[in-house]
Amino acid sequence: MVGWAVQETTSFVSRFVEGLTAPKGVVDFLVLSFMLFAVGVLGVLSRRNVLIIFMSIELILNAANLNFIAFTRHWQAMGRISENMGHIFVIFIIVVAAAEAVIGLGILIALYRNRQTVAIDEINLLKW
Amino acid sequence: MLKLIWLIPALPLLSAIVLGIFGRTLRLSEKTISWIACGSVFLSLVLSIGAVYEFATSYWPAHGRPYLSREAGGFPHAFTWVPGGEARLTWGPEAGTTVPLRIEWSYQLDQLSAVMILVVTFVGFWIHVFSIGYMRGDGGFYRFFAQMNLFMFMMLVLVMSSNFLMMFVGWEGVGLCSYLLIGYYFHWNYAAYASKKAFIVNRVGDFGFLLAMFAIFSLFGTLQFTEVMELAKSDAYLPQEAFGMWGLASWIALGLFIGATGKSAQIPLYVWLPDAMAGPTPVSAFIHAATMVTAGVYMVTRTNVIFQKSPTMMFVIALVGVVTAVWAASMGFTQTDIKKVLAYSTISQLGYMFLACGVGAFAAGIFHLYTHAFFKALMFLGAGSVIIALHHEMDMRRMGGLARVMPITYRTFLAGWLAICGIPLFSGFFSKDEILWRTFSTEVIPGGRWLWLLGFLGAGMTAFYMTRLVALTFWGEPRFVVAGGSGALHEHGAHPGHEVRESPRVMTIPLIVLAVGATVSGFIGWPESLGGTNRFEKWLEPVIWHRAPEQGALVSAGAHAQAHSAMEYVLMLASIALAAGVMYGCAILYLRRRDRLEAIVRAIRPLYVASANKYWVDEFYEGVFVRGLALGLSRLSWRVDARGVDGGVNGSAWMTVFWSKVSGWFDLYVVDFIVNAIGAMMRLFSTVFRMAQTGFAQNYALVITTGLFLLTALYLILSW
Repeated sequence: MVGWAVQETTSFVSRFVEGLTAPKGVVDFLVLSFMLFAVGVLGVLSRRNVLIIFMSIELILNAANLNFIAFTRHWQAMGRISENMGHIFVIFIIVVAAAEAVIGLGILIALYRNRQTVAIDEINLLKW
Repeated sequence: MLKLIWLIPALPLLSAIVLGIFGRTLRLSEKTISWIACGSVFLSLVLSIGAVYEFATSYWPAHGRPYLSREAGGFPHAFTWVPGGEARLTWGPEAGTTVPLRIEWSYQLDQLSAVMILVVTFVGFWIHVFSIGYMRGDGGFYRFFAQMNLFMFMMLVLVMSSNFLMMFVGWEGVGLCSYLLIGYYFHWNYAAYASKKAFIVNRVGDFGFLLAMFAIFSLFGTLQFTEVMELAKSDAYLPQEAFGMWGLASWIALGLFIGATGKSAQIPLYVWLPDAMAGPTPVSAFIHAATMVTAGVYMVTRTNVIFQKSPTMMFVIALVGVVTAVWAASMGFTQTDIKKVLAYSTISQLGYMFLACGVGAFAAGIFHLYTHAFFKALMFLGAGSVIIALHHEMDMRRMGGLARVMPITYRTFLAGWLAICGIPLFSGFFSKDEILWRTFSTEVIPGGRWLWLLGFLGAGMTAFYMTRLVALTFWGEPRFVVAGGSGALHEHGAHPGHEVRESPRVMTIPLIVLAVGATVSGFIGWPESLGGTNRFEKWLEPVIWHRAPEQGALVSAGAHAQAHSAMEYVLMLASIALAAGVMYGCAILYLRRRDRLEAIVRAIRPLYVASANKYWVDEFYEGVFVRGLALGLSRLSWRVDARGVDGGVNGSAWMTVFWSKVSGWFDLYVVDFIVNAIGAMMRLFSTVFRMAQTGFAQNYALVITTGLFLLTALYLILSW
């Protein structure tokens, strides 16, 4: 039993290390990107604090960024493209995200001044 | 002078305007007003004489047709007065064609209007002069003369008009002035009533005149006298009718004659004239004796072509005329008001004029019009002089014996009396005898002898009532009580006539002039049977139509050379004898044998009462037409108005209210229901769907995410 557990653990670790050190294909990046995206979405859906939700949104954006980078690298490796096309989008997204964060935080501060709260479930007036 | 004839009516009009507008505001003195009023009429008289002289001596011999002011150049000789549009003719040979309805304002001078303007301006001028004395001290002095001048203008327009419409203007204008002057003492109820009566009764006649005028235009397409009469002579336009036939000519003539009966106070429209005596006496003399009331005779003569086409209407005219003459004379027997007697006398004499027209002796009718204007104006003015002298006493029972006190009035009055009674050498003799002889010998209509008999009877009656008037007024014992004040009444009661004196010269001179006229004016028509030439009839010859004998059995009465049978002399002598006998008998009865007179009156008491009450014709008209017809009609139309029209109005109001209630209900319960139902449905559905709208941002995010996953899954499944 213990031997099985050690064996399994050892095997897992070795495969993990192997995986860490193995050359990375596009799928690896996509998996990571998906993870980031999933973490972001869950954060958006489940957290009450608007600040955390902002952060989660940043995660979602960066998941997209990672996709861009990964595919650019992939397509360059495949010899299909030569330019760093995806990088340009990434730069854009970072800039837009920064701007969005500024505005969002500004709204948040104004909201806090009025309502003394940043809990999103208490901000529910905009309905029928 | 001919070119100046537009001035003849214009001058009195100018004077009327000046006096009417400025007479009161400028506080013109009586002297100024008199000068303006009489001066304008005098200028008209001078112009008339000059124009007629020129017409007779140079224009007519050169041209042989009426002078129309349209034909001369220069200041307003004629202008298009009514520029109408196209009008469609409905009768005659040109039926269906359209002609322009263009009516001009122009004056026509021919033999007939020459006689009329001379009579109107001459008699009018002297009556104006008389009025200065009669109206002295009256508060409405300027008003009186303004209206008299206006009347003068209207009368001159009437007789100088060149077409029917202009004549109608004058016709209505003289009616208006008559109304104004009858109601001159408008504060006196009876005068106001009498003026209204005159005006309304005249309207009845005017209606006939209008209808005839419409018919004339729709037949001939023109209203000019010269053109209408020329066309009317042809049988194509107006077929000659035989006696007893009733055709187009008869209808037109009937309309015209109804107009004439109104204006000239013939049966059945004579009732206004006796009441018209409520006006000042010069008005009665001028308007209701000498000029306006003769307009009907003038009009019938002016349109004699149309009348001659219809012997039926000629007979009607003659009959109406002669019956009026006798009827009115019989009412004159018993009147006690001196002016009423003269009024009935006027009606009676007008009847003679119509009798003359009816038997085809139009010239004789105009001749009587002309002599009558003198002697009747004279007698009215004489009566006015008496009335003024007696301080507005008009009842003959309180007169008498005035011959000694008022010698000039008396003597001039005698001239009028002899003239109207038909004493030889006085004007009335010539004209009345002419009419009676023409009636007796007429070939235009049957029954001339019977008509003559009635006319003869009427002449005797005329002699009776006029002699009665003279006897009661001027002869016998004075019965008047006149005093300067109420205190003097008793004091001088024993000396009646003390205060009564002859009228001033401004009144007696017109009397003298007119008396001369009444005496000598008949000489111009001295009949051929008495060795004269009857220049009056020859003068009027061109105006009177003479039908060529071969065209029908109708022989024109004026033109043929009548054999002066012995009959004419017999009839003449008979009328002279009758007149003289009646005058003598009447004088005896009233002066010496009052007992016999009273016995006679007792014997014929019902007739006396009937005559004194004017045969209750006024009451009959009052009952039948005023109360019965007019009041009944007004009641009926009131009822129609109250029940029918008001019912309709109220009914439609009720319907409106009813429908508005119905549609209000519909709006409230149907339209609003639909709208509300739609709203309610929206509300119902929205309660379900709006549940999705929670307001929690994370809910929305969850939906988005779910959708993302679902879409991705769908994509994967589909691209499997």
